[in-house]
Amino acid sequence: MNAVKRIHEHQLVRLFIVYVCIISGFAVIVSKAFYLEVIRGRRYAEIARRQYSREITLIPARGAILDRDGRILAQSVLVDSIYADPLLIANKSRTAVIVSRVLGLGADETLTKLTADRQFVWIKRLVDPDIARKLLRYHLKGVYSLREYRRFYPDKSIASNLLGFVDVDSRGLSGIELSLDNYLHGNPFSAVVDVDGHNSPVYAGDPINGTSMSGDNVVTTIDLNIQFILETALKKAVTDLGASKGIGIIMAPKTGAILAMVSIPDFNPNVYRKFPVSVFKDIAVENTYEPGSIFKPFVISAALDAGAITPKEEFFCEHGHYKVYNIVIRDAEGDYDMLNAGTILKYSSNIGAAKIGEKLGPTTLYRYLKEFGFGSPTGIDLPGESPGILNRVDRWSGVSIDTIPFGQGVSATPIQLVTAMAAIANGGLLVMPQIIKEIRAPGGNVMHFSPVIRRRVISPQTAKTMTGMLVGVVNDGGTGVRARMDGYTVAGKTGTAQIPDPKTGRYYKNRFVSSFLGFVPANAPSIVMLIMIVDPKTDPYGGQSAAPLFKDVAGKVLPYLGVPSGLNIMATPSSEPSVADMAQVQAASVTQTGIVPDFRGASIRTVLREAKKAGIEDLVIRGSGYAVGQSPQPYARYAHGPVIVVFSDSVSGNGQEQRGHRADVIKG
Amino acid sequence: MKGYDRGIIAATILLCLFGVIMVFSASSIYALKEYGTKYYFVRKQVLYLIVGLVAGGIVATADIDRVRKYSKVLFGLALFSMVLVFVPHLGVVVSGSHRWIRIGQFSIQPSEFAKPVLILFIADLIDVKARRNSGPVPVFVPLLYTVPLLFLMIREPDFGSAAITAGVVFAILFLAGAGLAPLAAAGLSGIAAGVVLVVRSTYRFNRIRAFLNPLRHAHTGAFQIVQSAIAYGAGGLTGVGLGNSFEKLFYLPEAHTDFIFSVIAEELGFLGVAAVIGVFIYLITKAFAVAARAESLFTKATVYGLALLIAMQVIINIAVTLGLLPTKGLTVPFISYGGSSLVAQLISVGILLNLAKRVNEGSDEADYSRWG
Repeated sequence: MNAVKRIHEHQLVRLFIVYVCIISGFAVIVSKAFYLEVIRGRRYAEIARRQYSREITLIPARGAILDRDGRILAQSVLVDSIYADPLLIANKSRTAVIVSRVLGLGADETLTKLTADRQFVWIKRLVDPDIARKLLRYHLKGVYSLREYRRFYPDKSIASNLLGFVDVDSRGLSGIELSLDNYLHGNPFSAVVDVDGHNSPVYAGDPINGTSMSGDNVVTTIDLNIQFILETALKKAVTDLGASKGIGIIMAPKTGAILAMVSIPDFNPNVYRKFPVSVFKDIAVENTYEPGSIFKPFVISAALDAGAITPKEEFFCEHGHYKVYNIVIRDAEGDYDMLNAGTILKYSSNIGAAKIGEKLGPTTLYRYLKEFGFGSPTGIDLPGESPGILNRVDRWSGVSIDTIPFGQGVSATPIQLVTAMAAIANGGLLVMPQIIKEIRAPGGNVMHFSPVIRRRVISPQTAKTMTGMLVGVVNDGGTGVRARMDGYTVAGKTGTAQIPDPKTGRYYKNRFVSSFLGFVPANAPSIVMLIMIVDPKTDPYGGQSAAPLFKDVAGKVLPYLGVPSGLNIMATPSSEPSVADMAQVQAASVTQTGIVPDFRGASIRTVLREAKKAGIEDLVIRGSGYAVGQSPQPYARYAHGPVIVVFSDSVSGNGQEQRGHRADVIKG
Repeated sequence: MKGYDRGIIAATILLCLFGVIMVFSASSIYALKEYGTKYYFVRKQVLYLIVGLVAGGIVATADIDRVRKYSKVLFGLALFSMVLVFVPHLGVVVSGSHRWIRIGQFSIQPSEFAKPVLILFIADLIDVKARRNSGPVPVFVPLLYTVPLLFLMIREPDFGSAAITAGVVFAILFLAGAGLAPLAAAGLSGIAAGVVLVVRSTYRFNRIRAFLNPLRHAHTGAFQIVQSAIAYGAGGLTGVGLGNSFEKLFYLPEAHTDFIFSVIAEELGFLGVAAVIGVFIYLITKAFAVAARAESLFTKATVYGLALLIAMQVIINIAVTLGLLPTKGLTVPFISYGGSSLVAQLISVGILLNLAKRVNEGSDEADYSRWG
């Protein structure tokens, strides 16, 4: 018992020794904690503050580019960019294998980056956030991500040459992106922010007000739907005709607002690197062409306005063969005897135009052409605009006064031609072509761009006379008859210009620029449109290729704009749609998928069939009988959402209300 | 509840609940970024806590002598499971360490359970030996059993656990009355083996070097130590406030496990640190008091061993976060995130409570007859 007790006491002593050791251990850590936290606390707090706060440069979000109704043409979205700190990476080959596999890069190329003797290398920029997240899940030491903006063009190639594109640092390289880069880009700014251990800013208290720091939004005058109609039609025509290029411009003649502007070939600005540099040009403002016959209206307008000729005055057209100095001027269509200004235009007589030029004289012609804007940039807000070539009179050759009237020996950009035609359409005023409607600053300030009228070129009377002659071109027997539309009066001029060989200076025998330049409706024009098809393999004459395209596009754009047509379906209610109406529905619907067909006048069965063909899944039928209205508008671009078709015997409301509804639909 | 030590229960539950709060604070942003929900870790920790409380409760009310009877079997199982971590497909390898075995959705870390099991086994061994002959307390036989376990721990590699396990076994033998000479001989050879291992293993050697010269190795191991020191310093006397740690924003690695105490220091300051350490001291003092009053060597050695295990883990972990010791990969008992450690520690507390009740009721002595 004594022994047991002794052992017990012995153990108690040892227990106490160990306990003292434990308490000493605790004492040591509490002392050290006290030293670090209380005595040296300030110093460490200072180190901490320095470690967490960084002065960083923030690139603001680039402003969006919108169409005139606020639909997005270009916008910046946040994505991830992957970078590495090679000095932190222990197992470089394994890291390279994982990184290259997830990001779809070459393993060797990645390994080279990871072995660089630097603390920062980009691995891949502007990566899809899902892919970036997948990579970061591996927790690879030394591989991190930053958030950056990537430019996104939702409609891909639509208006691509006009919009342009941006580089990886979101700086505009062409198009509107370049010309308005200063507004869109915004100002990079520095801020002191707290960052976490991955160098990502931590917005705990006051988040940086990102919205006020973003670039301005640019609202263009473009209407996305009209752009889509024009671009789709032109692209198809260029392909079908085997042409090298195509240009289309639609302008509102009174304001100069560009509603659509298309250059083919186009490109997808989301992946611009995949395209050759040559397609980035916006040829509608950068290239110049000898205009050919579409130039005649400007010369004849000048002669009329100057009083050099009268509309009834006739000119001897030499039976198609007119020798001036060393050249022979021919008329394509044959031997004309006496023609007046109107018929010269209608039959597109080169000899007649030359005679009018001779009568007007070089000095006056030069002055008028200058007034129409040729030889000077229009001032449109797009980069790289060419002034075209209009030589001063003292540099004219002996035959210039004979060739310029039919568009040879002079060159113009497509935008100049449209702007000059707008002056005839709007009663004689030269407007500045306008591509920018508003610039909206993030703070709410809006800069409006009012239409700019440069000057009066011709009198309203001359413009009216000229319009009448241009309507004649599209009438029976005229060169532009294929541009004639049902329900709308078209005024316009065809052109078939020979392409000069840059090496020899002579014209190619069989290469042409086919064009149609006109406006519609003739008496109160809503749109001026130029269609130019460069070097088509088939149908080289403007009257053959460009004129029908003008008619097709205008036939969709005018109803979309709500321009009342003379041929009003609504005004002739009948129990069954006419055969002509049915044909119209079919023609409209089969041509374009993604475009809402014109259902008006069709029966329910026809509507159902055509809607299916057009790929419309959500069709809402209201009433019965024949279709009297629809939403969206005919020829509008169809994305998602319901398409509503209202029929003549609508269940709700009486006839009076229905008429009112119809009118709304038509006017849009 | 009657007869159980309420102080130990209260301290344990207080530490566990505080742990849940701190795990949430330290892990929420990391969890949100990695797993899409800030509750990812805290949800699991609450689940582990419930499992641990149930397991601890069962152990606390069980007949400890029956458990003791199976201590050899349990020790064999512990060794076996420590081997399983090296079996491909069964063992989980995380950044080169074989510490876990996967069972269904969960990973279990056998070494956490092996530590209390070893204490039970050694306590039983020396108790039986002491009763069979009244000669000197054996040193080499218990160490012989311990060595394979230490070997497996080092192979994982989990040098911290091995060091603590060795330390606890030595302390138990010291308590039991082992001669100082054989203890010193065994201890010195153990330290020599440890030094050889450290020098031969690059990662361990680097940790030591980083520990000795933190700024020079700011981008390797010492980064944690520097960040931890900053966390303590930023905390000051009263802390930056619960949830407001900046260090947990990816500066401090493993903020919710090994370095959770740095987050506590930053958010709650010196006062918070002192309070938490105070609760630990209370718990350990209570356990030592039980050990002092225990009659049987088994009870005394077990209670003392388990208390020592907890105390050493707390001290070493905090010492690491303070830069007093090189980084170890040890967790703070009851507080750090981790299922195996929490459940094993709550089972240890269950054993403590069971034995404490027996001591308090004066029934500890009765066991002599059974074994005598």
